[in-house]
Amino acid sequence: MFSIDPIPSDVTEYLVWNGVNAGRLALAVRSDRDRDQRPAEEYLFADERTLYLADPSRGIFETRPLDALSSVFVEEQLSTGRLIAQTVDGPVLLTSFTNFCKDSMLLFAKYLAVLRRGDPIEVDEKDLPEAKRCPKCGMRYPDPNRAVCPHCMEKGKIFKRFSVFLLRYRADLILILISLVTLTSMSILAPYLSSGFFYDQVIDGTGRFAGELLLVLGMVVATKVLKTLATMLNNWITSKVAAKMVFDLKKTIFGAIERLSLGFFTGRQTGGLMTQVNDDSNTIYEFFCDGVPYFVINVVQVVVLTVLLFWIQPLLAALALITVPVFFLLMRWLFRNEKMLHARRFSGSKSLNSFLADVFSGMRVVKAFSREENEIGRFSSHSRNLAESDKKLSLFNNYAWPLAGLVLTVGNMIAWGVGGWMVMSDYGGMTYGKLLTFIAYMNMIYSPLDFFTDMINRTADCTNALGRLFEIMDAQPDVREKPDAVELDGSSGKVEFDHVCFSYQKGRRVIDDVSFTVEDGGILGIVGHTGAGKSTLANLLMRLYDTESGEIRVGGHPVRDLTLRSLYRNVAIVSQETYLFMGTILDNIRYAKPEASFAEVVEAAKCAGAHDFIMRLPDAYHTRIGAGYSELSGGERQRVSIARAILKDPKILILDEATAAMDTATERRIQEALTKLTEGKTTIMIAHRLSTLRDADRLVVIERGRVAETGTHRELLARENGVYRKLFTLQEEALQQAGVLEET
Amino acid sequence: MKTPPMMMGGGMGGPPPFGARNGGISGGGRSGGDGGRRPRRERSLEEIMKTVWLTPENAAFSRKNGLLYLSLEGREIRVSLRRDFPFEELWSYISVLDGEEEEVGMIRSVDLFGDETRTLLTEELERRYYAPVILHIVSLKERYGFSYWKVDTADGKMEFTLHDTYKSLIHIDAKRVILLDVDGNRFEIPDVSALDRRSYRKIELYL
Repeated sequence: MFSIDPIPSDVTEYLVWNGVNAGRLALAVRSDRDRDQRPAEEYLFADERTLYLADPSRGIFETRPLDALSSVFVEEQLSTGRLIAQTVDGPVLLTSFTNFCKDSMLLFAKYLAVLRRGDPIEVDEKDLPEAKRCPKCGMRYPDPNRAVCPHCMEKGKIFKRFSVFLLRYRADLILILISLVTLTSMSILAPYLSSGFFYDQVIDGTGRFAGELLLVLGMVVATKVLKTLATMLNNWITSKVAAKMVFDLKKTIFGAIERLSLGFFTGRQTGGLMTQVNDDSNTIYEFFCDGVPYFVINVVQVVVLTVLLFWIQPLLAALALITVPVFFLLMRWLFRNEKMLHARRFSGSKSLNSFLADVFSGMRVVKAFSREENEIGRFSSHSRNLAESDKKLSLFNNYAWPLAGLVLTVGNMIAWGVGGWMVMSDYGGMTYGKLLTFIAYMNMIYSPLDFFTDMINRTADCTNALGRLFEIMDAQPDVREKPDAVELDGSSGKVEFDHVCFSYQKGRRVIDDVSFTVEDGGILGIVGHTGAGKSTLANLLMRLYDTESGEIRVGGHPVRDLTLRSLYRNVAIVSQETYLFMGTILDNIRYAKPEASFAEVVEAAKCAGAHDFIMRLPDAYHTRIGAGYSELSGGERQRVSIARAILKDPKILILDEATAAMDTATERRIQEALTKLTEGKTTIMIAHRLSTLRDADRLVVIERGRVAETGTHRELLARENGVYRKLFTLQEEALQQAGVLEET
Repeated sequence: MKTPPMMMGGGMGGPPPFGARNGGISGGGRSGGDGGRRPRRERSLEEIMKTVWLTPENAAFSRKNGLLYLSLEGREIRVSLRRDFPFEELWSYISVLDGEEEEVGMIRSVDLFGDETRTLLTEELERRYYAPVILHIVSLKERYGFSYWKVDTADGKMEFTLHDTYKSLIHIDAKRVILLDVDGNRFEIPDVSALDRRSYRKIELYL
């Protein structure tokens, strides 16, 4: 039996008690709601003949013969769903469930269909419950497509893995460490020389260096100089490494991302990942170049200082250091609060900024509806929020840190009091000089402490950043080239769709059993309502996604067997969303063929009807476009992208609403350009404006992911109740009206 | 006017439509694997623009085999209910959609109907817009971009996972928050400031 969820033994026993042959059961699933959507534990079972529903706790046992159900499907609501069976008497609600059970229920419906056909159940590997749960903690992977359990991800492992990356910088890191060691030893030596040593050995007159003031001063200066040199060295290396490492990290992350299929970018889980790339590389760098070396040094410093304090005077050290744990806890608490206040301030300023951006860009609308007063009110409320959190933050800073200082003072007072008494009563060989050194060291212990408290947060941030980095690096592209992929030679541009099914989201079919063929050099028009799945067909042909079932063949080869490079070389797409990169128009036209000569570029632009408007721009082909530079209109952008496709000279051309953003006159001109472009090429034209498709040999009408009609323009028009005929008449009418309007 | 922060089409991919791909009244379900579909009925512009107000005089609702049906002008069709303003008007401005997700009519308020029908409509709406109310946050752990929650709700203890906690908390207004988990479940905190202190401390960072 394939148990999609774990089934308790008493449930199976209950079934047996009701006369079910448990050995023949083939499928089982759990639901967490009953038909009235009340919390419940219901179980659904199926063998090849019957569907069972059981809930032993409430004594429910129902059966339904499978052949009375024409289908069983999941109907999703917002955060719940329903399993519904289609019977001769109409649909019947079997059970409801919350989205916790949704994936299981979709699987149940999927395999129940197999059972109903009378086929044996062969469970897809990715549908096995083991593939969805972390083997360690048993929790479901939050992203079913990635076998990463954030819960069990080990910090140690992450850092170990990253250390390989760090090895590249080992020389620099060692230098940083050396400079820090020098720095620290000098900071420890300096107070000793200038206080304890100075009083006891130099000024006192009885010490070994009595009277040798200049020599001692020289030593003090030398430590200072050495310290400064170490600081300079440290700064120099850090800034050098910083740039290199951040660059490397970004390159690694970007490289990992570029490799992934389009599905990764559209997946909801990854939207956040992308924006993090920049921040993450900085976090990682800061942690390893700033955080870790300082941490190591500070640990050493605290240990050395503690030893020194106890060495100077153990009793005094024990007494004076009582305040350290208090200070540590206090700092943790303060940091937590400060972080919260900062976060609030940050979100306050963010919402104020986005409000401003929103209002300023919509100023025309604000004015048109004379909502200025209202907007000023909204601004005030955002601004007041920000001011409030600003106030809180600075208040906090003003009272919290002095409080921390107070704890420090308590420690100091103990040292001064007890130490002073010790010097006066000559307890344990305590001298004034020693006391001074003691107090200097004691204060030095505190400064790393606040760093330690912050280190906890920094470690967490860095593990997060590294976790995300590895997640991207580990993500497998959905579309993978076969190891023995063949090159598409481009001798034939025949395109075949053979019973193609596809869904972006599980259970939500976008393309359903679509088949058609375009002969080499033929022109196919794809027509349909917006959202019918036309562009998805183009994406599938480009193999930006893989089909769920069925096959797409180009030049007789299944696209799955082709190298992606050769496929992309032979297929070009001009789509409704034109994307031009920042740079010159020349760069953009040359994007697909960087080696193209100037003559070729101009020719391509002329073909696309882009040359004229480009020449009207002050810098012609060298005009910079993109953020901060001159903006092209929608039609102009489209023409540039058509020029780009022309220059690529592909065997197969997909025009996905290529002329949608243009006015009729421009469109007509572009149409002419396209006719030239499509000569001798296999062309797939996607449009909802039917006038665009005049030249197509054959038309396919897509309705909700399915082929509704297919034939030539004439054939389709002849159909009495055809979808195409209806669409055509509607648009003709609209065009005539528009024509009248244009003339007047 | 700024539109309220809708979550339906947002990061979570949005709730899938009712009926359309599952056949609903129009035939076999597709998630189940088989069955055909009736072609979409073309509606005229007039039909699209006209609002049919459903009242006890012209409409009768009933439940059959656990599913909601509407009798209108002699036709009986399977329907689903949608709140037009789900965060403000819970029982008014209800759109009634058919299996093709096209509006059959609107209900001004469920109170217009008699007790029996009103209960039926209220139940259907409550089921559709089910979002357990979080009473108390037992524990909240953040791990590598995911947060793991254990909460007490009116429907008992629940555990769920959020991805990108900040983005998964949707602020409806100053007090009200809706949480969207990785499975697409919704949870609601009607008034964050009314949470007990310990729960509030846990969620505070994400507000």
